[in-house]
Amino acid sequence: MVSSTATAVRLHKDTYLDSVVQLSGTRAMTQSEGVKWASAAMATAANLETLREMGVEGPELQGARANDLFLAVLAGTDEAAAAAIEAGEAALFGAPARGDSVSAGDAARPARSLAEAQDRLDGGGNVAIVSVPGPYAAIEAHKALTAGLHVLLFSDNVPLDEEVELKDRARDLGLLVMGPGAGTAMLGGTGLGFANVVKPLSGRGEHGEPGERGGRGGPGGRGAGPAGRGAGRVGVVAAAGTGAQEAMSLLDQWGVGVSHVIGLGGRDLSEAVGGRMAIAAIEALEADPHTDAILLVSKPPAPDVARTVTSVAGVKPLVAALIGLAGPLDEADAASRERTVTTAPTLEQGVAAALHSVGKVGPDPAAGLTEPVAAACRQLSTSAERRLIRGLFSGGTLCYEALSLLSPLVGEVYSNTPIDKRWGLPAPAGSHMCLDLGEEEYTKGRPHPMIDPEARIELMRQAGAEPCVAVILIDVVLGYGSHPDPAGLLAPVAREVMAGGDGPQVVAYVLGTEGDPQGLEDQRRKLRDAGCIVPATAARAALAAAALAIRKPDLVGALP
Amino acid sequence: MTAIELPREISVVNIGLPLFADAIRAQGRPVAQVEWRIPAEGDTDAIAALRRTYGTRTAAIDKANAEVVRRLDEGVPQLMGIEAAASVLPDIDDRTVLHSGPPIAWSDICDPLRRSIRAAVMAEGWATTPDEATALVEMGSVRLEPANHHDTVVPMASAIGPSAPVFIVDNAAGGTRAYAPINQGPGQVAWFGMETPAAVERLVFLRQVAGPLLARAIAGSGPIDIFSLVAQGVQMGDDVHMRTQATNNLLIRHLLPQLMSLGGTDAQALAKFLAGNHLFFLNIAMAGAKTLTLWAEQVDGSSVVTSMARNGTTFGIRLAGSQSHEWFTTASPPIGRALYQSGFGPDDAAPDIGDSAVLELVGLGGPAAAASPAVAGFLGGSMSDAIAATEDMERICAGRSTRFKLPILGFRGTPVGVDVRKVVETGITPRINTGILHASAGTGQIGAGVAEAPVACFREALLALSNRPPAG
Repeated sequence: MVSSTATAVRLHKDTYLDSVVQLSGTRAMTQSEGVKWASAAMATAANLETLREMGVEGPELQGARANDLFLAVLAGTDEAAAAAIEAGEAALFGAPARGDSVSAGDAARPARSLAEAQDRLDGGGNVAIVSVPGPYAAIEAHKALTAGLHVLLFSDNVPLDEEVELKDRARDLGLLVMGPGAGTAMLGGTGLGFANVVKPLSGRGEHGEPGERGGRGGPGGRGAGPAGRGAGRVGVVAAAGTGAQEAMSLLDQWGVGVSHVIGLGGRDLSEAVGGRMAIAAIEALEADPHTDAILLVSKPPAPDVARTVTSVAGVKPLVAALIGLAGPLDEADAASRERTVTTAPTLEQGVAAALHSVGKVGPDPAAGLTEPVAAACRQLSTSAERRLIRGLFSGGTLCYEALSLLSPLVGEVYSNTPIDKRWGLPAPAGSHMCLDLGEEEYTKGRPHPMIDPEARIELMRQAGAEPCVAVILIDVVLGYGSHPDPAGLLAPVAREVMAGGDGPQVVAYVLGTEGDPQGLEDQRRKLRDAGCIVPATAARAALAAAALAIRKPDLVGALP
Repeated sequence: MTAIELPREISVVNIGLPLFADAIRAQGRPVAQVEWRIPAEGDTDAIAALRRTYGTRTAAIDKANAEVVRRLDEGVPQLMGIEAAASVLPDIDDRTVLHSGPPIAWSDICDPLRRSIRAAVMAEGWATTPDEATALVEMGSVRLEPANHHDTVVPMASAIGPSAPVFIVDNAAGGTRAYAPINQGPGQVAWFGMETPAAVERLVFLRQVAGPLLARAIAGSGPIDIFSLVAQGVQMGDDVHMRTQATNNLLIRHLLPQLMSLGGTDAQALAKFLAGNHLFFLNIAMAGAKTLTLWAEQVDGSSVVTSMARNGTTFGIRLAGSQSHEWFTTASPPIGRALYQSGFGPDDAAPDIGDSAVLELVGLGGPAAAASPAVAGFLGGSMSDAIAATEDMERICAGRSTRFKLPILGFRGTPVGVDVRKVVETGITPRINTGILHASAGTGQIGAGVAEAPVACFREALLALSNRPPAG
């Protein structure tokens, strides 16, 4: 039996906090001096069982229910346990603990339901963001649809049949269900979820007649299209969260307006869901007077689904960036239909094709990249054993794109999300590896790496200590929802592991826009100053990693 | 399928992570955060039922609910007269005694209701002592029936025999008619679970004196629009369940010319009885409410509760459109937040009893708490306690009254139509302000408190609704 263990429990009745916030409380208590174990969680039956197993009991827990929050600590002394509870409450509620300012009849009374929240918005709102735990998410999404709201469904773990049911209802009602598992969208110029800040479509003239195209000659209108019309506003449809962010950021950086970004959720283009929301989204963008071209972003879908979805394309150009897709989607079919469908195997190429479709040309994404890569290759050539790539990604789509670009160039790349099932973890010694740190196995008990870079910092240090690693490839995702200064935390670690040229080279791709709260150029500069190579697109970052691993700097200029 | 129109400007409801609301706010767009709670305590079956009834089934249910709320809100109950129960109630014979709450066997009936039933048997003249009355019931020569099964509602532990006078209330728009006995008043009375000679005597007085005289007065006045009086009473501080003082006075004022012209010693006895009975209007309001629930329950496929009643042993509800008239029951709850007369405590208290909760279904009682300083005093002392009670009902109701207005809430209508989906989702159940009877001693009322309806029967009703084939 553990000797001299003190326990402390505190219960907050009817206090629901999101799991991310619960984790911050758990972490604060665990880090408190003399604490052996701690937990801040909702008093569900399962969590109460865990408490019993840990030997935490007490009168405080009598009658505890699922919407009560507990803090529980096992510590060496009563004082340490009490201090940990204090620390936990400070992290959960901010100090001083809230709760005493609430009085009945107060106008500031929180809305406890969708309907009550709608009462507080002029016109009742038109979009709902749902991010409650998966088992309950469909109920909230259904209520939002009933109320006539589009839904961004961020929640994971929503069963497939519930997704289909929601999307069928949405279709009947003429509404969007973006998700489940959709983290990014933009409607009417406002980013939802994890989104980047793009420049507004233009000044006044924009809200013209339906069907009007162009009209981007407003004040500060950047790069109006040929003959001042055919402005080229692109609507993005994305089954991949960071894919949507990469697309909207590159479009914005390269001077193209983004009309809307419609997230789909990762399962929409599966055979089971059949592209239900992708079809609805493409139709909606076809009909939208502020959209001139459509960019679809996804991992390669089931062929039948791809055919169905692209067949919806009408008069507007449709570019399908199907990451890792080799060759045209469906040559014979596409040719016979003479559709305006183009495919591209990377996000960067998809964005370039979308620009092309509206008569524009973007900058060379490889510009200025060969030189630093070549310099780093020379540096690495002094340590011949450094041959391996370690990709540490916060964005799942960016990880997937890197895997699809790297394997043809460097061979097998092992991953927790491998593109070839044989290349799963654990990776054999001496192999390349790219990890999607946003996957469940890395986010259990800690925040997502986009929100909190801490987990990635540990892994960067580990990779830096491996003598065979030539390059550490990271993505730094900016925008709403992300950490306020990720480069500020990651750059010093990158500098440390590169060790003035004795360690591996760090390649850091910054996904974002100048308008993002973190500022694109500022974040890039911090990483560059630390000695990182900072490419212009995610695809180029992957190519740079390959180039460093096999010492072929010219690779960064060539995409498949 | 409907074409999707993409919005040019958005305004957002955020349900979940507050950081998403922060991001919308930072972009200068309106956002309202929902303070979300795990629904139905995380109960998997209830979650699945909520998903169905809020999802694919919601259009049909919401349509049915709108019609139910319309009927509960728009029906106009008229007090038509008073007759002996046996001459007007459907399907009763000359040996039937009606009681409060869902159906129940004699062996399961609580002590106060047993005493009341025995008092009714003695008042009918079928027995002269409680023991004789018990023997009659046990040998089956008295038929016990829930009043609700005969379009009748009775408060607390009331029981009525065939000769008892009942108010007749009509709802012409719905073609429904409902009944309630004359309120027995305070003191030694059967509806508080007493069977003393005085309690039996009160029943006889109602049959022989009060009933016939009130019948004459009402006949002289012509039909009385009950809920028009109630709407005024709500403005005058009644919740019309726990407190009916104002509405009482309005009714008596209305009947004053007829009452004055009655004359005689019996009229004086009636006047004394009326002057001493501050809940006289309660039963009339209940019958009025029942005419509306009878109309509403004819709507198929609704999730709104149309019966809610307790017999002191079980608490039961029924949904509109349940053709089987199935009761969903659970144990009658204890009465909480109680105030006891000195010498009594929780160990002496019988569980919640009576049909008066029909009022909570039509926007009175708990839904109207915010109208009543008297109720506020009872609920905790401040008007915000009463407002909180009304707002809790708003969270579980499908609509609002267009006639019962709450001055303190900007003349907002009281909530109408308890929706089982919302009850199960939020865990908020109707609160019923009610009297407390002695559990065993037959000493009548020993206090008052707030009964919290148990969520279990609402859950059962929701599961049954979600498993029932869609209406139409």
